[in-house]
Amino acid sequence: MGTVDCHGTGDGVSKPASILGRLGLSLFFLFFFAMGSLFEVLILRESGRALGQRSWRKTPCTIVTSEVQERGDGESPYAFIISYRYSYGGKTHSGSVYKRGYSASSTYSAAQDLVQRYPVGQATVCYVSPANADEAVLKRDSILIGLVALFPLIFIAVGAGGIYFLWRKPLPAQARPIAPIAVGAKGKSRYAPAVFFAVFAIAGGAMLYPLGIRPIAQTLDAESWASTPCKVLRAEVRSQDSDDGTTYSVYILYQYEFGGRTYKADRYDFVGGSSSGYEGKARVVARYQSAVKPICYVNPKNPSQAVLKRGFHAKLLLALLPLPFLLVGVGGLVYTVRGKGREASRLAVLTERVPDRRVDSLSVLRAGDAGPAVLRPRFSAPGKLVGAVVIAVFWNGIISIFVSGAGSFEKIFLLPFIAIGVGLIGLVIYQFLALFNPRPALELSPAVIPVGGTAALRWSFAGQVSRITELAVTLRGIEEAKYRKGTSTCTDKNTFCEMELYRTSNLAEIASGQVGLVLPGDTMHSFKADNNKIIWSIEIRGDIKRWPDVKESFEIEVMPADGRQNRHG
Amino acid sequence: MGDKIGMGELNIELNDARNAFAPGEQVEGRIEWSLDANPDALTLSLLWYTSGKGTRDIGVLYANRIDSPGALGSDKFSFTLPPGPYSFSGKLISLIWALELTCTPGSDTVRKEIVVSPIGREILLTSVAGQGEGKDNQPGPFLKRILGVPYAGA
Repeated sequence: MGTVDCHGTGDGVSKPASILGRLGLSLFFLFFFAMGSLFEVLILRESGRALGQRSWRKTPCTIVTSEVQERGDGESPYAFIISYRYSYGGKTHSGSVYKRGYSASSTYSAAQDLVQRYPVGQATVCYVSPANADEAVLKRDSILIGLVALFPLIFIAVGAGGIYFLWRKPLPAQARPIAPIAVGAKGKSRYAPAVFFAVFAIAGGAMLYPLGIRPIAQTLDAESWASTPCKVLRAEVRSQDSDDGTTYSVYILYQYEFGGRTYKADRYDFVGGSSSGYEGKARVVARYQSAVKPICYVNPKNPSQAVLKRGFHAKLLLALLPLPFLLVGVGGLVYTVRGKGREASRLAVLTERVPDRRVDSLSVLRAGDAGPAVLRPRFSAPGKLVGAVVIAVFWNGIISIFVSGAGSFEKIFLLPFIAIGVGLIGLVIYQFLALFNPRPALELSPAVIPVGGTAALRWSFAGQVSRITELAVTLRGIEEAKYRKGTSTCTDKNTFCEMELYRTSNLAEIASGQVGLVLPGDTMHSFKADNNKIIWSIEIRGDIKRWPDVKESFEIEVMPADGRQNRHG
Repeated sequence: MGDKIGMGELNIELNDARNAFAPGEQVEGRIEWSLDANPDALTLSLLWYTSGKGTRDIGVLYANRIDSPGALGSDKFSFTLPPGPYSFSGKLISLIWALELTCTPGSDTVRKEIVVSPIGREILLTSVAGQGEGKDNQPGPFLKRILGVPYAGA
């Protein structure tokens, strides 16, 4: 979510919608509720069936037939055909169902894996319905489907909650308690981001094995597989339609002999899946269609496993895809749980059930606060350049997509957007030139100034300071208010204090100098909450002829006068 | 005196009817309740909250809970104020300190605003003339020279 400067009303209070608007929104939420309920019922029904199978009797059985059968050119052309015999209630029965709902597999390998798991003559177990002894399965439904039932609950909660909050009668603002909101909000502010990052971490972790670890482990293992001539039985480019368009995959069914037996396999590589781009896949298929005796690589420990393409190749880079999710998730989780950098939580200490105990809600005086401190700029020059480059690339990248697809008449409407893009390129050049400016270094003593207190500020420059013709040192206090407007987060700023501490054109004084400052006794100290801030800073502005000026802002900490006195008292 | 809210009456009274305090000072007073039914609990909180353009921030310093207080009663309280934040009012943000008495279950509540400031009144932050919102977005002297805008320092 980007932060933009815009104007509007804040305070976290939204205007009530009109009756017509509420009716429209109610329909929207009703649709959410109805769809969620429908899916909930369907999933619960499936869960009930899966749970019912848990009471089926575990019974010894023997596999009679087990094979892969090809059934035309549909999406699942390879059927695992099985039959088994079992005794139940003193009678012998035969079954032919592998698992409820299974009809066929999309790849030969998947069906072949089942044949290997249930070879002819193997003694295994099946599950027999106590209500009907002729009904049996080799594999029961997973009860994990019950977890899926949680998903529609989100829709039901959004729908029901939306309707409730739309139509409930709000209390007058004065009658609404504030403290319980803080208790809830503090919990949320701590755990909501943790849940968000946990989802990222789980998604990354879940993807890491199938997309990363397994293909790489198989690739390494396949280095020792036996090179074997094979015969291509079927080679085609398969297409899969989705909301994002059509994707394609290479499908090659081949046959080979190993250890005196004939096998079939259809694994092309260890990554699998489909992607956009037809031409490359068509070339692969054409190559195998015309190949006389292509080589496949067979696993000597399990000859039914084979692959056509082994070794490391570009597609294996997909293995890296889950890593950003995992790193962002784990990093964010650690950061939010530790609560690093959460100044607001330091400010708002909750002490429920702790009667009459003094809580220092403001920053604790650290060792060294009374001594001098080297100030750091709020944004470094390289940081500003990187920021400008990112924004310029992002903006111009999006605009270029529209421009390339627009006609000459439409391009006229895009001119203001193109102008902004050009301006952003100008900003990048400006920030690049500013990289070569002299760099100011500031030292403040004491590091933390109490309201009404005094401090000494020293400055010096590194680099070609003679280029600066005039220097101004300014103390600035600003209010900063962050609020939501639609889907954007807006930040408004207001300068409430601006005090020019020093201005000089003397080169020696520009190069290094010192100035004392006295903070007013009736002003506000530094304050940082989640959305509202009071920020004090020292600004250095050095004019350079025909070049970007030196403009650096250094945040300083102003503390309450009483806090310091109390601590020292 | 507090306001009559909901089904009963909740009151917060401060000693000597004071409403302005210095940071670190004691806030002392009395709460009274007269309700139509026995509540599970009453909670007296000392808190600050922001008001204005930004989304509201809230800080609760103390939350004293009285379990099963009965329908009618009173109690004394005493809190020591922290060094800050000060009560202040700016162009964009106001920070308000308050004592809040809340009844559970339900949403009956009464709030008494106080001022926490070393000068005995809330700190007023005015806008610097001509240096208000969006100043940081205005072109600096370098851009002004390029754009041909007159610059006093040039």
